[in-house]
Amino acid sequence: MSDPLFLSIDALGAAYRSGALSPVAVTQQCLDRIRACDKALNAFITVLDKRALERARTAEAELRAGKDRGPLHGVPVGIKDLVEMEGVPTTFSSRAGSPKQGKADATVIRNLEAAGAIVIGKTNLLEYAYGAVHPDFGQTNNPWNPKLTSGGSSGGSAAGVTTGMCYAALGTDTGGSIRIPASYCGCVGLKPTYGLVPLDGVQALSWSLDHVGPLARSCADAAIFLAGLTGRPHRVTAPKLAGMRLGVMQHAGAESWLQPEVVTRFDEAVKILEKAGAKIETVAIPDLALASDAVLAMIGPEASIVHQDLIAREPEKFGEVTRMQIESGFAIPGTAYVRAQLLQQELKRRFAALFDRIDAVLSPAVPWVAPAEDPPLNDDSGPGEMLYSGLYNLTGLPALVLPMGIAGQGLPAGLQIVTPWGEDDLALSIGSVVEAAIGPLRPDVAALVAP
Amino acid sequence: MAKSTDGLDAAGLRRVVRLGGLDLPEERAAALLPLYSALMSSCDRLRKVESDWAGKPPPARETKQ
Repeated sequence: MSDPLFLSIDALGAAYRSGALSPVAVTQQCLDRIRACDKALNAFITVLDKRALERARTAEAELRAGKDRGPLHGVPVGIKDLVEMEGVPTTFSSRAGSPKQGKADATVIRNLEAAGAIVIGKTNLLEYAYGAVHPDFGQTNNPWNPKLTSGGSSGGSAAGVTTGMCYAALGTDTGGSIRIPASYCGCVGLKPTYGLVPLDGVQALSWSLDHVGPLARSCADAAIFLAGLTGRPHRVTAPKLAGMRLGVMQHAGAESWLQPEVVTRFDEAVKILEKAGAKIETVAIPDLALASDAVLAMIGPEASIVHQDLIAREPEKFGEVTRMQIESGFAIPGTAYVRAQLLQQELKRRFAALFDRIDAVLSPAVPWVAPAEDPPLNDDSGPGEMLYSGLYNLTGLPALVLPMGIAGQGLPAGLQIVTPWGEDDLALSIGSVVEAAIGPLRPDVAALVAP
Repeated sequence: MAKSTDGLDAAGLRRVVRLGGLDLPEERAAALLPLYSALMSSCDRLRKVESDWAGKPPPARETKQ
């Protein structure tokens, strides 16, 4: 058998049920992979060795006894370290209000564990998911080149999934924090429809824009993990692409950001869908360029309200960039916040009209491949990084990112597929067509092993 | 004396932040001026948003998900 840590979740489940593999042995291998590679990556903050092995033994006993919880039964998964778990510390990758001992499980944890998933650990993130690294925690390095970033803010989840430390992981996305790391690391990331995945027990950043979703190595695995998060069925089906109408979204000013090889990989991905029968056309929506401004005008004051007590009580415990972002959010005018909300509603109406004649919208995920560090929100490249992602936090539309190939410097780039509200499975199904044509991308894990 | 792009100095920005609900020392407000200027640029661009977008119903497709 090839590396079992890179099996699909379905194949892993089949191996469990045939007796070829066991949850205890696989969980132990994941823990060994974390120990071997995490010095290079810094993907995990807390590794739950004992708890995970106990849960794996329970899963193994249940499966042997014929109590089958479904496709996630016995599958090791990672959780971004801003989700509450009973008896487990949450750090938020911050010294402010951290570590916080969990008193109860978030609904997503209850759902995942009821489905049999084994939480192997809590993954690294940008401080409070707010765009900057806390120096005490450090960035998650990129599995394709550890001198670069995995992206933020769910970089630990993306790097963990990409290197076989776990089979899927939970991320959160307020301006692109699932999709940007998925693009930089070469895995699948889905920001689901707004409200699809419960947010209780998940640290808020900006309640109008926050989403929880899966990072995984395939669209099918992401669908299984999404079902685990929601407790409702989600699946990839073979989409009937013949006659499907796909729109390539035009973004004013994107040329100044886009790397040529990202454009090449994107054009190739679009051709794959066209060859499969889809009708491709160019689409545009007025005022789209304002979406990133609206995201900033909403995140700023909402994050400041979320953190108002902590920033007053222990400001010096935040990293300097996060602290400045929280402080400056108190100065954003109410009129700007309301204008952002008006734009949000108007863009929703315009996308609804577009989706009357288009089945899905395509774009690159990020204009470039992984940089050395995550760009701060306040310099020119911050808005560029979320050029393609932030507008879908604003509109709440489901947005999937999956690898579309290697786009320079040996680094992956991501394709984004956006579908109407509630049609998350359609995005995953369309993505599976590109995925089948391109094949999996896998970094050299052996090169990451500490000597 | 350093000022933001909309002409606020540290004392002025400190007053604006205090109106928002946070007390800051003036030297912290001074350090915030560049970030505040960048955020105000975003806020200024949002002036293009039209007031007659208000009050329209949300799209049916969003609400029936």
